Amino acid sequence: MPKNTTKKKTKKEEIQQEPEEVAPEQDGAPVEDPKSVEKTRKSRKRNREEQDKPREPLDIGYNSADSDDEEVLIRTGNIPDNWYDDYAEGDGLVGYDVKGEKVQKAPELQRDELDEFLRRQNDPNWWRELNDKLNNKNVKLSKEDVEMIERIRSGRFAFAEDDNDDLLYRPPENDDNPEFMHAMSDFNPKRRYVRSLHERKRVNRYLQAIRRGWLKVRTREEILQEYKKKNEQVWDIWKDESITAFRPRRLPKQIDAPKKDPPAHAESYNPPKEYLLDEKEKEEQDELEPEERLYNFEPQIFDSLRKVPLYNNLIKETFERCLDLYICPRVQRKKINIAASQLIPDMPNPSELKPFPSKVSIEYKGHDEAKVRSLTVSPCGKYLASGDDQGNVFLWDVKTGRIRHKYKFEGIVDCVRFNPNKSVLILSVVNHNHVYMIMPQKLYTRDERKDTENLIKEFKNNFIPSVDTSSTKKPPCKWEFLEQSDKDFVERDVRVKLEFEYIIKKIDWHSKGDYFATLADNIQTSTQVLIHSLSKAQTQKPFSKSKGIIETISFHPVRPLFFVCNDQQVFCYNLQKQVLIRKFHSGARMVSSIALHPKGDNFVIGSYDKKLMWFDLEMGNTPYKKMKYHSKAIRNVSFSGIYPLFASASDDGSLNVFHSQVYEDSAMNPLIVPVKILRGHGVRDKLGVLDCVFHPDQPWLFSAGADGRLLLWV
Amino acid sequence: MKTMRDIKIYERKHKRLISRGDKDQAEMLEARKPRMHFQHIIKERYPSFVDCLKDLDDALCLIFLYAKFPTHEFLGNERKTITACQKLAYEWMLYCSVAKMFKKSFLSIKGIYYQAEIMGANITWVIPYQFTQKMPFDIDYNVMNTFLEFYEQLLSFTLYKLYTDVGLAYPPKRMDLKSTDGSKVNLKTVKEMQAVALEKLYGKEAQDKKDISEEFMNTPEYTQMIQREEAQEKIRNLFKNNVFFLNREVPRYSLEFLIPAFGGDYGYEGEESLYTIDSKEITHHVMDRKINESKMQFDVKRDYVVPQWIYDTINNQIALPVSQYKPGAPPPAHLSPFVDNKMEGYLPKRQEEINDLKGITEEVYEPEIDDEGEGEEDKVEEDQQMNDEQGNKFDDESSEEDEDEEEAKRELEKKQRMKSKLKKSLEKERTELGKLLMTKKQRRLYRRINYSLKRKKEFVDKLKEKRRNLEQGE
Repeated sequence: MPKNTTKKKTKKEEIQQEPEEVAPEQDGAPVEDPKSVEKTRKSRKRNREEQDKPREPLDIGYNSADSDDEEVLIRTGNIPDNWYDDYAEGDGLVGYDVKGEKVQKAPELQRDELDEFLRRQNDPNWWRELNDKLNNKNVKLSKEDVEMIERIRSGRFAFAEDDNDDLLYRPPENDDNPEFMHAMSDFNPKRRYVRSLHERKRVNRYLQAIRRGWLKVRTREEILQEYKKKNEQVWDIWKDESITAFRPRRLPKQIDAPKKDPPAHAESYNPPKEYLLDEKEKEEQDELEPEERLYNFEPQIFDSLRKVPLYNNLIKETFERCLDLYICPRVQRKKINIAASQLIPDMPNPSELKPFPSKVSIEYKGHDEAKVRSLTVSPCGKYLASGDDQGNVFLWDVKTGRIRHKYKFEGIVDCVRFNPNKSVLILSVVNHNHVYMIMPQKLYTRDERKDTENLIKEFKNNFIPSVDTSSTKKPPCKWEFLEQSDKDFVERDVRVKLEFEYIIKKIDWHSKGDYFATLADNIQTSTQVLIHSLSKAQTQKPFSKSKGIIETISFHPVRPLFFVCNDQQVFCYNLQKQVLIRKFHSGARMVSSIALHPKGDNFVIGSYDKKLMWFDLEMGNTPYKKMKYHSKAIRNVSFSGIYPLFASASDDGSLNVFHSQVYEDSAMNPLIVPVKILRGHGVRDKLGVLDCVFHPDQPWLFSAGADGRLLLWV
Repeated sequence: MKTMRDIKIYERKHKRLISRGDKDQAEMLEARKPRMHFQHIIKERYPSFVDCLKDLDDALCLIFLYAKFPTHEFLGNERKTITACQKLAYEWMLYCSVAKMFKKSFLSIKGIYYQAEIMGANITWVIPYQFTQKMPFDIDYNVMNTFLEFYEQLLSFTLYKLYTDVGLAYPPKRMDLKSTDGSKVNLKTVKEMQAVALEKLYGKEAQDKKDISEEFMNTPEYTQMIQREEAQEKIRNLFKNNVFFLNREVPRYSLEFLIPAFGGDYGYEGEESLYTIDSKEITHHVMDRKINESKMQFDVKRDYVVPQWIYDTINNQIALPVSQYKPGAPPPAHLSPFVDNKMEGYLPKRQEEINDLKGITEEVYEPEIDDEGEGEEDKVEEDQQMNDEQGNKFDDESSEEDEDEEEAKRELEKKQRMKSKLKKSLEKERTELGKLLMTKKQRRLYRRINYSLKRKKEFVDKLKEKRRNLEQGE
C-alpha cells in the first residue's frame, strides 16, 4: 500500500511542482529556506552555463523559466521526510526517482551525529557543505554562492552586475523633467484641448435664446428678490367662504381666548389724582402676591407727555399673555349676570302661612344662670315643666309665668317629660341614674287626680316589692314604690322611682301614656334602651344586641313603631313583631334629635353637623330634603301637635320655624317653607338653645336656652 | 411635518456653508429657507374674516412690540423679523388711518392704546413709546417667536384682504423709508388713498350695494341705523378744517396717523411738510413745552395745545375747550376711554366736566343696598364664628353683647314697624328665609356675588374718600 500511494503522490507532485518552479527568480526577496536557496542557486548556475555572460536584457522574461529542466532525483513529492524513516533504516531507501527506481541514501548523507561532529572538527569549511536531500547528495557552496546568499539576504540583486542595470524599470525620480512622460497619465488626448463641439452647440443655442428673448438671464439680486416675493406672497384666503376647513368632529368646540383687560383710568400717564396710591397703600400692595395686586404697574402722574419713560414690563406682560394663550386651558363658563337677590328661590309669603310663633310673649324667670336642659308641656297645655343642670325642676303656669312647684334634685336634670295621657298628670324626671314619677299635688283637677290615682293603684297592684334575689341576673333597673312616709314623697311628690345601672339621658313616652322608653348615656350595651310599662311595673329589654351608641329614641305616635337613632342611621322597629322594619341613612355624621310628625308619615332629624333632614316613611331610606342653614349644631327638633309647624333649635342661639304642610294624598310632596327665624337666646359655653317644644293646642313655641332663659314664642 | 424636516435640513446646510465661509451660497440658501405655511390653520381657526378681526388684538400687540425690539444676537432677534414686523405695523397703522377706522386712543404709561372698529369688530392694541426696549433675559423668547411666526402671516393675509377691499394695492408703498425728514406718511398720498378707500366704503356704490328693502326702510331700526351712520360720519370729520402744527417733542409717529383719520391736516418742521410753521392756515399748534422756552413767535390766531388735547378730543368725540390744555401747565386728567364708568360705579371729576360739556347725565350703577346688607351680615356671622373659635374666654361677653345688641335691634325694629316700615323689614326677613331654602351651589354663588360687589364698593368708596380729601386739601 505505501508503495502505491507514494507512487501516486509522486505523480501528482510532478504536476503540482511544475508551476512552482516556474516562479520567476528576480523577485529579489530574501529566501530563508535553504532548499529553495539551493534551488535558485542551482538554476542560476545552470543558466549561467547555458547563457553567455553578456545577457540580452529582453530575454529576461523568456529565459527565466530555467527550472523547467531542472532535474530532481527523488520524486517522492511534497511529503514529510519522516514517512521514509522506516525505510531509510533498513535499505537506506529515501525515495524513488523519476523512473520509479529506488534511491538509496547516499553514503555522505548517512553520516551519523558522531561522524558529523568529527567532520566539523577536521574540516574548517564544513559549513559550506549542505545536504540536498532531494537530489540525495551533499553540496558544497562556492565563494560566489555565499556572496549571492548574502546579497539576497540584504535585499539586493542576486548578481553584482545587475546593480547598474539601466534597462530595468525605475520609478521616475524627477517629475519636472519635461522629457519624461508618463505612459498613461501624462498623455493628453485631443479632446482635452480641443473645444467640444457639443458644448459649443449648446452655448450657441442659449445665446440664440437670450438674443431672441426666449430665455431671461436673472441677476443674483433678481433671484433673491424672486424667492423673497414667493415667501411673502399673500392672497385672499377668505374669498371662498364655501370651503370651510376640515374639522374633525370629535374635537371640542373652539373657545376664543378672552381679551386682555382694557386699560383703566389708573394706567393713564396723567390719571385723576385719587387713583394714585399713597404710602400706606403702596406697602399694602407690595405685601400682596403679584397676582392679587390692584394694578401690575404703579400709577404715576406726569405733567407732560414727553416725560413719560420707557415701561419696562411690557415685554414680560406680552410674554405672559402668550403663555396664557397656549398653556391655560380654556373653559367656557356661563357668565352670571343676575342680581344676587334673584338667586333666592321663590316661596310663598310667610304672612300667608300664619299662625306661627314670631315673637317673645313670656319669659319664665327662675332658672337664673343655670342651663335649662329640657322642658315639657303638660298634655292639658296648662303647665310647663323645665329642668336645668343645677338639679332644679320647675313647674310653671303657662299663661301667667308663675312657678307652681319647685323640686330640687342632685346633679343635672337631663330630661323632663309629661305623661302624654290627657287624663293623668304625671311628670317624669331623669336625674343621674334615677327616673322619678312625680305627681304634683297642687295642680290636679278632680278627674285627673282620680285617673292618676287609679293608675298608681294599678301599678301598686302589679308591683312586686321584693325582686327575686335568687336570680343571678341583675335586673337592668329596679322599681320602687314610695310610701307616704318617704322623704322623696314629701319633698318631691315622687310616687315611683326607678333606679338604673347607668346614667340615663333621655326618656320618651308612648302617646297612650303607659309605656315609656329610657335611653342610657353613651354606653354600648344591649340595655342602653329599655322599655317600661308603668301600669304593669315591668321592664323589657327590646334588643338582644347593642346597636352602637344610640343618640336618641322615639315612639311612633300612631303605629306600634319605635325609632332608634345612632350616629348616622335611624332604625325603625315594630314592637309587636319585634323585628327591624326599616333602616334610614341620614347622611349626617352625628344625629342629635328626632321628631315625628303627629300623623306619623314623616319625621325630622337634626344633627350636630348643622343639618336638618326631612324623611318621608314612604319615600325611601334617604332624606326627602336636606337643609343646612344653622351655623352651629342643631340641638333639638320638634313638631307641633295640630299646626303644620316644626322648629329646630340650634347652638347658634336661634330657632327656625318651618311651615310643613303634609298632604293626605301621598303622591303630593310635603311643602316645607321657612317662616321665621327666632333670635332671642344667647350663647353660653358654645351652647345655644337646648330644647324646644310646641304647645299642644296653640301655635306657641317654648324654648330653653343655655343662658338660663325660658321663652314662650307666640 | 415635511416643512419641519426641510427646516432641519436647511439649517444643516446653512451651517455647513457658513462654516466654509461661502457667504454667497449661504445667502442664496437663506432666500430659499423653507417656511411654515399657516394659511390652512388661519382658515380653520377663522372661517370668516370677521372672526379673524375679532381675534387680532394679541397679534397686533405682539407685532407692534417686536417692531420696537433691538436686534440681539444672543436672544435671537434677527434684523429680518424686526423689519418684517415694522412693515406690518406700518401697514396696519396706515390702513386704519386711510380707512378712518380709529375709534379711541389712550396715552397710558405702558404705551399708546388704540382702538379701531373694523367691520363691527373692536380691535385694541398698544404701541410702546418710541424707546428701544430693554430686553429682559428671564423670558423664553422662543415662545414669543413661535407666536410671532403665526401672527405675521395672519396679519399679512388680513391686511391684504383689508387693502384690497377698499380698493388699494397691497403692499402699499413705504413712505416712511423714503422720507427724508423722518415722517411716517406723506399727507398728500394719504389723502389720495383716503379718497379711494372712503369712496369704496361709504360712497354711492357701497350705499347701493346695501340693498335695503322697503319694508326695512320704515322700521325704527332703519332710522336708528341712519342716525348712527351720520354720527360716525361726523366723528370721521372731527378735525375737518383743523390744521395742526406738530412741534418737536410731540408724538408725531402717532399723530401722523391719527389726525388724517379724523379728517385733519398737519404740518411739522420738515422738508416734506405741507405747512410751515408760519402758515396762516394753522389752527392748532401742538407742543409739549412752555411757549416761552422755545424761541417762537406767539401767534394769537392759533390755539396752542398739548398733545393730550387731541387724544381727549378723539375719545370724547367733541372738540374740548382749549383753555385747559395750554402748554407748560399740567393738563387735566387723562381718562381711559375703555372704562365703563357706569359699571365701575365711580365717575371721575374730569368725566363729569366732560359730560357737562356734552350735555349728558351719566348715572352710576350702584348695587342694591339689600345685597350689601346681606354681605355685611355674612361678615358679621363670620366674625362671630372667628370669635367663637378663638376661645371660650370672650364667649360670655360677646354673647351678652350680642344679646344686648339684639334686644336693642328688636326694639328698634318694633319701633320701625310702628312707623309703618313694616314692609321693608318683612322683605328683608323674607330674603333671609329664602336663603335657607337655597341649595349649596346657589348659596356659594350668592356669597361670591356679594363678595365681588363688596370689593368693588370698597374700592369705589376708597376713591371717593380720597377725592374728598384732595378737594378739601385744595
